[in-house]
Amino acid sequence: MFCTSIIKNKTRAIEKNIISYEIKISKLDKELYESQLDYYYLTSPKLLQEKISFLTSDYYQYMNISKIYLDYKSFIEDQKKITKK
Amino acid sequence: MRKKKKEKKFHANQHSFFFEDYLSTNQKFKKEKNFIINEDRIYILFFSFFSLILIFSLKIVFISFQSPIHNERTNHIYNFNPVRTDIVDRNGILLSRSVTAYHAAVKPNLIKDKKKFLVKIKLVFPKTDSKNLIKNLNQKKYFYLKKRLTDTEREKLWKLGEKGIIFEPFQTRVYPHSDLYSHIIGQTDFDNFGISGVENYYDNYLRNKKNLAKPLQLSLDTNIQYLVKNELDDALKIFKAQGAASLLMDTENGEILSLVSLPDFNINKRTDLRDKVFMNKITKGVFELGSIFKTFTIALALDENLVDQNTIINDITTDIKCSVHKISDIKKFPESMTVEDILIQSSNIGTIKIARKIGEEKYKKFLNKLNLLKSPEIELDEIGNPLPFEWNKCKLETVSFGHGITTTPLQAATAYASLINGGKLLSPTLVKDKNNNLKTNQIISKETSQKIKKILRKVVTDENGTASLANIYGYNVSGKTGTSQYYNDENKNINTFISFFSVSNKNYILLVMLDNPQIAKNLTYNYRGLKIKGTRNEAGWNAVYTSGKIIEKIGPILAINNKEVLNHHVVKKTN
Repeated sequence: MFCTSIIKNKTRAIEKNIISYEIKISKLDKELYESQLDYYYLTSPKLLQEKISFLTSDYYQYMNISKIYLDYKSFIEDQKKITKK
Repeated sequence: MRKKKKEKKFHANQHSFFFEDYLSTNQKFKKEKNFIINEDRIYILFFSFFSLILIFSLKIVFISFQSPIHNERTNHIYNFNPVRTDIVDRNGILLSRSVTAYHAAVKPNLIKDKKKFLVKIKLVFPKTDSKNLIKNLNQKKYFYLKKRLTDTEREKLWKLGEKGIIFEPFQTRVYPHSDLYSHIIGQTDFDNFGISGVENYYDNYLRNKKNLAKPLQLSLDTNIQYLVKNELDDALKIFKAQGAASLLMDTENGEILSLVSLPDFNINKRTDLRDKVFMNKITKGVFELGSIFKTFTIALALDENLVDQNTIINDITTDIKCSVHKISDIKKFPESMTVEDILIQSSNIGTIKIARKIGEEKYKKFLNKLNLLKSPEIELDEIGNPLPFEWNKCKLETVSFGHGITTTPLQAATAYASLINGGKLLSPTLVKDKNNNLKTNQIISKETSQKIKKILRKVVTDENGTASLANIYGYNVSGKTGTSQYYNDENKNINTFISFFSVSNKNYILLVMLDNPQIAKNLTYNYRGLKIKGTRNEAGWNAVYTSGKIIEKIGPILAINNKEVLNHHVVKKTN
């Protein structure tokens, strides 16, 4: 009986620790949950464009499809054309 | 009474009449009696202690058999359990999430100085109705000061330090992209039930706690949606249109990547919108889309082998009489034209001649097969019903070139996607991977589909084509324009362009519609290498122009997002 009570007391102490850690995890979970929302708001295309135009005078151009190599073949062909010239 | 007193004098322990000292006997008797009482007390105390020890032991045994208590975590105050699951786009970007917000309520009994309280509230909320607030305070009943507080408002109220102000927590939906998806996501009510859009359509799924870890993934792409919306916003300004709408769909699986309807609204704010301009023009709006229908007429004629793309149709007059109506073309066309040219140059009379070869019954069946005459099916409750009509005299003729028949832009775009994807009938969807294993019906043959694609490409590339402004390098843009008038006002136009284009071996349908655009006199078009000013107001000069701008911007994103490109061709750094 005494052994049981000693073990039980120790278990209870461990359980208290677990609960306190779980509370900490829950708090962090909640913070993460809300931070994710903030992240998606702050990185939304509209807000990013507004921030860019507010913070810099740089003008960002849209990428033209002709400037993108979508496969190796087109890249190599293009390189050949350049070397021939 | 006297008798009783006498009886008391007789002592029960007096056994005989021998002499004894009465006082010492009495003392002895008292001692004996006290001893008996003390013994009883010891027994009771022993019994109490024994019972306590027994209870304690039983409790220890009972507790030792119990399971650990750390499962209580789920009910802890710090645990936040959202009442609805998230909605995300095709790339996992968050579109809708439940968060805790607060109402400010007042308990008048806890307010000591009402005048001071009133002044404080006026400082935080200057627009507060003082009379109403005093009335509520005097009634001494719990009332709401302000519902749905912002963080700054809550902080200001909290800083007042008034005990009488209660912050009542509740859950609400937040949409980080505000107006970007206003016509798709929809809204929820105060009790977190969906009332419109996807929030309403998937209400059961979103409220099911088993799905909390599985967000609803839509087929939409936030970056593309934003770029399309930007271009449409520009088009509204350039062409001074009353409204605009666009739809981008994958032609293989019917997944919608972008759906924009302008004007839109911020779904984070609750406002009562009753004006029709705010409706979802793509799914709810029912329009006469004009020449868009000519493609259906010619596709059916080709599929039925009634004509070939090179078949010459003779006798194309400037106007034609049908019953009491006179049908004419917008400009004079040659008297003889090939079927291909009729579609490229968009001749009404030529299309009527082809429709007459098809006949009313076959044409009606074909429109039914394309789902153009019934309500569209999509994961939204905001859908429009095409206006019913009777197939009386001249109906075949007018319907063949898109007049006297209404449909939603969503249905028209889906029908086009079905025509150009090899003839497989599509069902549009807003949910990613929903149509992956869907069995489709064949509505036209693959050969006819190829022929139609070639003709529609010429609408953009041919010098007589109506959609030259959408000929963007690298995308093989094809399509058909449609210019129609309002039912009650011939001066107002609905200009539409349904195009399809290829990026990295994938095909997409793009529909752009402008509501009552005006001639853009200040706009300089780059028309086949020439710089010209805007003088015309047909779809080819506004809807097509806008489509070209959209394709130019979203094309590279579509190309890079394509999984095949990423998996096979893009070099990844390993260190």
